[in-house]
Amino acid sequence: MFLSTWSGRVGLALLTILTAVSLFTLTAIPISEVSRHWNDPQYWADYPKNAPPIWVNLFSNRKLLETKVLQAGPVEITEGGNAAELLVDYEHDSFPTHISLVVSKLKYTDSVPLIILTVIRPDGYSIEVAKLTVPPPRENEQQPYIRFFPTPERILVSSSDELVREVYKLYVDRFNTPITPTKIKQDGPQRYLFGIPQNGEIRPLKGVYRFILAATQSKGSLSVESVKIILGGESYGFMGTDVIGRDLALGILLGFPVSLFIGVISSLIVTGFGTSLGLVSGYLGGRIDNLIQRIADFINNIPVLPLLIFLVFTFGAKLWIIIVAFVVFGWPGLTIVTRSIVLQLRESQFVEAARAIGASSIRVLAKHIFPSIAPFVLAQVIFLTPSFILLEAALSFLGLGDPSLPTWGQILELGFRSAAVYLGYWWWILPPGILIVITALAFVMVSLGLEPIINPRVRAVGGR
Amino acid sequence: MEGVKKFYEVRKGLLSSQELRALDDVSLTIQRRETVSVVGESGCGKSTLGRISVRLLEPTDGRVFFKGEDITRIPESALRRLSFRKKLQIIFQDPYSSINPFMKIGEVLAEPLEIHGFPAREMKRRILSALEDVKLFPPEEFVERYPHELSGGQRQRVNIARALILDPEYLVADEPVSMIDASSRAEILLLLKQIRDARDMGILYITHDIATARYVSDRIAVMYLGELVEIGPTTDVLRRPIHPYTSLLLGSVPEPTPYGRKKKRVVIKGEPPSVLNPPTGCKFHTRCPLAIEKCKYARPQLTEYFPNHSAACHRAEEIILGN
Amino acid sequence: MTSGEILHVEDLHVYYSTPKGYLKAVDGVSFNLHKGESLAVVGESGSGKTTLGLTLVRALPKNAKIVSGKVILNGEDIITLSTEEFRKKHSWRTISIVFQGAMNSLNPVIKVGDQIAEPLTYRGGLSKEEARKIAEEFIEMVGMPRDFYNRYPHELSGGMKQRIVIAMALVMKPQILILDEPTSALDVTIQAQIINLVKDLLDNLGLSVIFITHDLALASEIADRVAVMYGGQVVELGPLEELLGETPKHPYSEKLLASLPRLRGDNVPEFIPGRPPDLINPPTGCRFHPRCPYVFERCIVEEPPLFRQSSGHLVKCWLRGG
Repeated sequence: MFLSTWSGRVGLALLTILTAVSLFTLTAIPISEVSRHWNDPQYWADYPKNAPPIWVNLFSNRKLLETKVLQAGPVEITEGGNAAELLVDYEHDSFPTHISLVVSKLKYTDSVPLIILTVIRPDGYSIEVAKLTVPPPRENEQQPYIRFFPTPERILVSSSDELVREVYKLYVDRFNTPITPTKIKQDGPQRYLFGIPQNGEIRPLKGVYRFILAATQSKGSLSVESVKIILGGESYGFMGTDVIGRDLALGILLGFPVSLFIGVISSLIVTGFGTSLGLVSGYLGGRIDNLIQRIADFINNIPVLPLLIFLVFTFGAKLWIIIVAFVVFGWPGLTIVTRSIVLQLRESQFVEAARAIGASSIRVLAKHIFPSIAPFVLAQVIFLTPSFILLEAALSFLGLGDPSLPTWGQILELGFRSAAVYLGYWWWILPPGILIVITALAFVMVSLGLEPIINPRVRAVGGR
Repeated sequence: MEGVKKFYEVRKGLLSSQELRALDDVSLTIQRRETVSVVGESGCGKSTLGRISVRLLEPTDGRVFFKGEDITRIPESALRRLSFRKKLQIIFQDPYSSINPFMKIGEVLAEPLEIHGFPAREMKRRILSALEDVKLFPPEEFVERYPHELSGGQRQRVNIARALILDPEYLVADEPVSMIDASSRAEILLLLKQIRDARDMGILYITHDIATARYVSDRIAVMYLGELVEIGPTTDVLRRPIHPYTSLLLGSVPEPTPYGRKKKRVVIKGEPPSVLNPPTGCKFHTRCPLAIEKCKYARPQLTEYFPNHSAACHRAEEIILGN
Repeated sequence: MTSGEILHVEDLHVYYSTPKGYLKAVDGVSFNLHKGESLAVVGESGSGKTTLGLTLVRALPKNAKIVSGKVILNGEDIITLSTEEFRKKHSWRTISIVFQGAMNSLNPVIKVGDQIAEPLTYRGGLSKEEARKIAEEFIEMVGMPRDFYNRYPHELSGGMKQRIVIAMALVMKPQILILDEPTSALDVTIQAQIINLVKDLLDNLGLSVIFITHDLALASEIADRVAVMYGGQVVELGPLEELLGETPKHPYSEKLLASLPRLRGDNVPEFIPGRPPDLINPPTGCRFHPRCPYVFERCIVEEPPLFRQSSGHLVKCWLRGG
């Protein structure tokens, strides 16, 4: 019967999808790791900032460069030599936004090595791109010496002055281009690294680029677990990135279980608490009833938002504070409604009959009154969930949310704060917004679909 | 014969600011093996009386005695402990709302037994025998059904079964057949009679329909606006009513007669007065065709005019002589 | 249509569509009503009598369908009209109804007098003053003081509200008034008052009344003719005297009469064992056969038609003909 309304069906379908995505997220993605790194800009250093999603290329003529990650390793070098060679076949019409070198877990023995990264362009010129100094052994340290572990060593190659100088040398000596180091630095040396002067401007040079990682070491051996060269593209991933470079696809995926969790947990607690109080209040009546009702009225009249701002200001924005606030401000509504239902039920004849046979109050509440309100309670839980999801999003958006959580509201908040709207970073703003709406809608539709069950209009059809 | 129940109530106020005298000094005794009907229209207090007699409500004033013991003010826990809840039972009017729709019939009948601590084996036996007593065959099948699967008449019988399962000695039946089809009513009424005889019970039968009262009761008590205006053996009250209200009440009851269309009944004029603002003196004086000056300020006392037949009217003697 | 006949119902079938199938609430009902006559439609719950009433004023709920049949009112088959056309032409003017529980449907925030006057201004196109005057007349006609016009429903008792509702139904002077259980919520003394009122209206206004009730005793107070309904069909139709007298009747009517507890007389009320028939899957043949004490084979197999008795009334039973 529940599925008889199209609203119920659509809502249930949406909910199933949401739950499936959440489950997938929970199992496929190491949530704790990503949550931890969510606010660590270092972690996202390799990613392009404010980059639209990759699939944008399908719709435009001008192909945006995708972020390319060239990876090699583990490699071992003995007594100096070439550690690794990484190739990229460059066919794009635009330049990388940055170049990073990431070296992880380097082990060496005896003398301290020096790592040099060189690139050989398709036109044959070779340029030294970066030099990586490895920290010498510390006092009393044993061999083999391990470096760049657990945090890999990152060099933002494209901002190094050495690269600027090398590029300058190339362009002045070989290409006779009138250019200054300042301009190179301004434009970003990677443009020039991947470019060639043509008709007065710098065009991308297509072809195979070979990145060679070499080590000089007078004595000993060296091994590197992984070497990455990241050519920052203009687009990244399924859903693009934000200003910190965070992969929005991850953020949005994480938002599924987190939002659902916040919504459902808050809803469950509020409903549980509120209806219990309502049951007690309605059934027992008298002074207890008055007390509970007065408290409920009082709380209802407190302006929530200023108080929340104050709480956040004092205690900082933490998830549990937000949930506590939801519960504290949410229970009165439920109590009042439950109470009126209970008041009605209390006067019904089967309750009277139960008292007549000697049932205790507890028994009456549990066996007689509660089953009648159970459908209502269930509906309330479902109905309240989207409210809390929306509330959390709103709070995050206003800056009152818990920034350590990757929720859709948080993503939106940062977006607005970073002027993403004005800058046209639609991939940042639209998906979380749409998802919030769809999630809330899913729950509302399910509750609409439940309504015929909750409100059984017992009309004697026909027969009279 | 030992009196089973006696009460004497003065007032049952319900509102705090304005006093609503649901019952104003009503006394009634019910004997074992006797059915007394309390007849009256809405607002006369008969349902309140019934509920007070099983201690679902407490009287503001006055007392309720059960087999000589004063049970008026005993707290609920004591009522249960001393088994009064077992001995005093009630059946309600609406077969549709007096049974929890979420419980199976078996559970509904088991509940009173559970509350009073009957062992499981005995519970089963009692449930089946109670269903048999109310003629719901086969009992094993009915135990598994839900209320919505039963007809109104069947549900009412379940109500009766539930009331009987604790072997009560006193039963209040509050309009038990008014919500049941006419063709099934007699069945329930017959059942009540049989039960009373088989179990030596005293029954208080509350109704607005005098015709059914006639069929089940030994004595009839007529109430108006919280007061007892006439009480006596059934045949006496019906054949020789004393109080004007009783006569008019009897006259208002439709009877299947071929001449109904042509005749117009003598009806009571006006509307029942507000219970919040009852008339002074004899409460019926505003509508009574025989009212005199005295009726406006003096409340008539219930006086016995014939053996066991009393009425509260200033002009009772005139009426009796006039008949 | 014979002279004096203002309503003619022929072979009416009204079904409700439910998840379990079609509920045949009215399954082949025919009768007629004459001017100035009161016809009682008597039946218990599940007999279809309320559906019949609703059909006559085209006020059926959405899931009900008039499957077939004719309802001829003043020479016109109103079944063929759309609900809108019916509403404009007949509703309130030719035929009107007092629904069950109507007294509880009075608008609590409008004066009762205004509620009576409403159809006059809204439909009849009268001015407010004219409407008010007529409304006051009707208030008086139903036995209340004229100044009750200004009262609100909550200030009135049940009996008074019912009078107001009756006044509302009569204010456009319809020819036919349908009353569906008008007294079931009222005390017996008030009921007697209302019945007297209806009789007065019948006599003074030349009104024709269809009185729907489950109470056969009540019907006998007011009816010229009685139609007994069972399982969606009319099983007996005839003058009141015939029904209550010695003439042989339908076994259901017989049992119904016997089940009435009486104030006078020595009878012990009887009951009819069993339950009302399932209108989605009614019993085969005669619908009463599972509960009939006189049942024989033909009853189970074949549905009897209405047989005309020598006394002039119709009985749908194999015992009475065929």
